[in-house]
Amino acid sequence: MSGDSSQTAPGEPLLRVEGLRTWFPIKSGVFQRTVGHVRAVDGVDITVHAGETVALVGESGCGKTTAGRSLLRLIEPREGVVFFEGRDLLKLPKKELRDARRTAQMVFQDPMSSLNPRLRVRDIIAEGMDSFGIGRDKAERTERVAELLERVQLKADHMSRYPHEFSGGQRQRIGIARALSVEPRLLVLDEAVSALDVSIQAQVLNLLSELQRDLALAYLFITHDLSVVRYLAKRVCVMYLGQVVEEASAEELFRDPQHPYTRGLLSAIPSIDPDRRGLDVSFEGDVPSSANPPSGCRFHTRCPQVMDRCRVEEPQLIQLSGRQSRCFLSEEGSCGVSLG
Amino acid sequence: MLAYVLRKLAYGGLTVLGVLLLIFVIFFAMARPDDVARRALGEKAQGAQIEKWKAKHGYDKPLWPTLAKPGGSLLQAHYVSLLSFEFGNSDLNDSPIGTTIRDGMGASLALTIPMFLSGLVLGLVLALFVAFFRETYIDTMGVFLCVLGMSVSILIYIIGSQFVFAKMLRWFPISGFDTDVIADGNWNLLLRFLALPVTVGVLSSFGGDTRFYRTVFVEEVNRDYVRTARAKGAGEMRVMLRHVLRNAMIPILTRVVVAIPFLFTGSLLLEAFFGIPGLGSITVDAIAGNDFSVLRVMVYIFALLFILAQIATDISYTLVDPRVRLE
Amino acid sequence: MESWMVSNLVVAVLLVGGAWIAVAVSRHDIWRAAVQQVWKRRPGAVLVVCVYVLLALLDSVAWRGNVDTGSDVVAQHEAVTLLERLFGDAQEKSYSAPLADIEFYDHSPLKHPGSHLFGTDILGGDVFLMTLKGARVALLIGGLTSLIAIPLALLFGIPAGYFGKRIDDVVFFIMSTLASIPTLLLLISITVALGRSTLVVCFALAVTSWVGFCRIARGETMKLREMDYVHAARLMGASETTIILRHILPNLMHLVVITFVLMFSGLVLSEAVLAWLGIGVNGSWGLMIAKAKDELSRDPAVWWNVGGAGVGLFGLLLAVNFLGDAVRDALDPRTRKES
Ligand SMILES: Nc1ncnc2c1ncn2[C@@H]1O[C@H](COP(=O)(O)OP(=O)(O)OP(=O)(O)O)[C@@H](O)[C@H]1O
Ligand code: SF4
Ligand SMILES: [Mg+2]
Repeated sequence: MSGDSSQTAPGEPLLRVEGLRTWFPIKSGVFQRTVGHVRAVDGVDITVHAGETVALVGESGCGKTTAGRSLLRLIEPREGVVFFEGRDLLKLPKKELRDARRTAQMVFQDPMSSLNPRLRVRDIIAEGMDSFGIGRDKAERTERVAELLERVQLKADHMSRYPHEFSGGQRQRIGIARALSVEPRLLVLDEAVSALDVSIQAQVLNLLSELQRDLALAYLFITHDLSVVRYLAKRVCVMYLGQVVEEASAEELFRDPQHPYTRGLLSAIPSIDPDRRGLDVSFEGDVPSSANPPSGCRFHTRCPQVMDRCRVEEPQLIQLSGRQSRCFLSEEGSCGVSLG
Repeated sequence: MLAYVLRKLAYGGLTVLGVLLLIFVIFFAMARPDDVARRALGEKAQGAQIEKWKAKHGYDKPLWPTLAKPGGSLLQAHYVSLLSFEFGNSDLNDSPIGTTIRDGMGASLALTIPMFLSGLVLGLVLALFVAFFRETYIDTMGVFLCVLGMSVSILIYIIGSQFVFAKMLRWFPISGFDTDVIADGNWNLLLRFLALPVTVGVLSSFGGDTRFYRTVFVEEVNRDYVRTARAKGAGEMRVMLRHVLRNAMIPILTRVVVAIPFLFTGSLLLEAFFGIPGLGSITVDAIAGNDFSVLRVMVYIFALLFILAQIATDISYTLVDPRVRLE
Repeated sequence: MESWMVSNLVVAVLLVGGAWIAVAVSRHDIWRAAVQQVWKRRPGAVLVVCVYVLLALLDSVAWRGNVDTGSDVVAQHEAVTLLERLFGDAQEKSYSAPLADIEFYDHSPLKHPGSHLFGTDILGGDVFLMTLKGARVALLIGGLTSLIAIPLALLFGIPAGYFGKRIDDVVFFIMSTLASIPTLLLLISITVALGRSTLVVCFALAVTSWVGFCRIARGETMKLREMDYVHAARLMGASETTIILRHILPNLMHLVVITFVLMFSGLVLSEAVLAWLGIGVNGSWGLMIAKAKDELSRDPAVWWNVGGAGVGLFGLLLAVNFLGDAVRDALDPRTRKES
């Protein structure tokens, strides 16, 4: 699994997503015309460097899954650029896309639906090798399947079994082995451990870190669970209603959140850190609909620090030193609530 | 709401056009006019005879329109005549088809309406009864009886009941009907004629219906809100009638509309066996006489009725259950 | 090749196919568990269906032989099925009542007194034998029709559900058009237009019955299309064809089995109605019932023809209907919890 096939120029990140938008049409009327859109993803920028972990966090329904799938074109996005290994995936024709995204794979949330119940584990894992022509013959691929199973701490002779004979954690390991089978450089992990028991979660997370170290993998880790983020991620993107509202290194984000939404999220996790107890921000009201997002700043309906201009003017991502925030408060430097 | 109704109507209209095309394919392309003529005239018919027959019944045109000559094809004539309800005359005996059908309608409805209503009420009551005693041996027995009833051919029901009740016990006439009976208002006689076919009709479909309604009810009974109602102390009977029956309306409604063509299916045989001169009998005669001109009008009319019924159900969903959004 | 040879060949193919399916089922836990559950719940129905299948097979294996059929010379030159051979010669001259010693109307002695369990028909044929032979026709009708209808439904339903858009619009329109014509009328129209033969009847039955399954296949495909393993396959470079054949189709198989069993009794019942209208399949129970209609109005009534066919039909349908419920419960996750 050498990384020498890289077409990435030096200094260029492995994955660079800019202005990604995915809208789902809402149809109605006599002729089922499109009368509006669910703006599931509406301005997402993410950068992932080779070998590092970036987390994408946000409440349920904010568009994380849609973003993850759109950037691999499992759902066709409406606009944006997705530079992966130096090529814009969104501009590639179907045939080239197939090969271009071989090195970007995904691990799914639901251990029940991520494995075809009618196939044996061997065939599930070997599918990608078959279609991309990895390995000389069947025997060699089977051998690789055995290696991969052992790599994810399962037994080689599990390969002749069917998915339903495994536990949730084991199934996720099979999903990881499948993703690894085509020698990827990036894994998009969509809530990959959320469905598992806490103790199993820890095991799978350990496995992931180990794999990252051994194989120089980059992870885009999608989750709503901030405690997992802290354990794993180098950088963090926080999403709200289809947009990235804050982006920072994990360390800075947890120490000094800039965006009011991030602050609220952090206070919602049961904190074991006594330094952070004072920062208790809680939101009022429900999450607005992404079919009809609020004017101005999308967070203004729930923001505890809302100002008049927030209701009419839409804030852009504001560059701070080594981080970004989509909030007018950040414009005035690092005053305000920031404790620097 | 208006947009919804309009959309349903527009789609219904489109479906009618599709049905007409299908009818054309079956009766003109699968069985070509030459074959039809030969069937009417006998295998030994000569070319000239066939041409004459075709000219007389208006089949002497090309089947499909061509670019060079878009008008004057059989396809066009077919669409025009059926859409304008100008059905023309029967190929077999030259009687006007429209009149024949209008005359047959009364007898058919005299049979199907009582059958339909009593079948519906009986099925619902039985199903409620069985669902009330769900998971007891009464339930098991009920379902068993339903499956038993579903496994008997309607032919056996008809032949058997005629044999036992008409021939052996002589309670009813074996068959027969008098259209004047309806006009005279002679209900007593009408009842004697209709009792057996209606009973047989209900009997032949109650198994499947009852079992279906039972499934719907049992599903509904296990819903949370029913449990809540029961927990609040509502009596089982009240729960069944007020909550379960009302909320089961949608699947029942669908079933009832879908049953309308099946009703016709049943009555086709019933009418023929019991000598009731309705649409079913006309159809059976048309089959026996290879009279495609009547058969295709029948197919058209019943498809039309079905499509209308479908639209009516779609609209009535919204009336029965306000939770159904008009998309 | 003569028809009885074809029939033998078909039996051979069916036996090999059956064995292959049995092996495949026993290897795959999900299917094996389903089979075991069905067997545990409805052993009677399974046995009855097996008996019918056995009869059908016995009546499909045929060869010419020099069987000594006594006076009947013609029989020596005709292919005779295994079932008929097992039965021996049972020909009489005309009607006789069940287990009678003499003919029904002219009271002359029978050739085989007391051996006709269900009596004989107007031509002197043994009604019990004809009833048994009806099993083959019924299974043929159900089997052949399903063989046309189910692939047709999958062929239209899967692309409609998978690709959506235009394809779905077209398929949906075809389905709603076909569904607006009452089944029996459509059946009659097609058989009348195409002329009557076993194949035409099965074709007509297939045309009227594929729509229901097509709708199910379409809906289920729409659900499967969004499954994570389909997304995963796409990332693994699988083509649309591969996804359909490897990931969608196998996951529809349980619905195919359920549909086949649930559809079966309806098909056989419809054929009976067609038979009465004079468009049935030779040798079917429906035809026996239709022919025997007038026999009941004779005096004294001849009831055993109707009786035999009715019992044959009822037995099969009862077993299949019970089996259908059990199969659905065993294979369909939605009803699996309820019984
Ligand atoms: N195919 C679709 N058609 C229409 N709307 C959709 C579709 N898929 C997702 N949505 C909507 O887009 C929004 C974002 O959904 P998404 O699944 O991406 O959120 P998420 O952040 O992954 O949430 P969760 O944490 O629950 O997984 C939701 O409001 C959802 O209802
Ligand atoms: S821009 Fe205004 S409303 Fe939006 S997060 Fe910042 S302060 Fe709150
Ligand atoms: Mg999600």
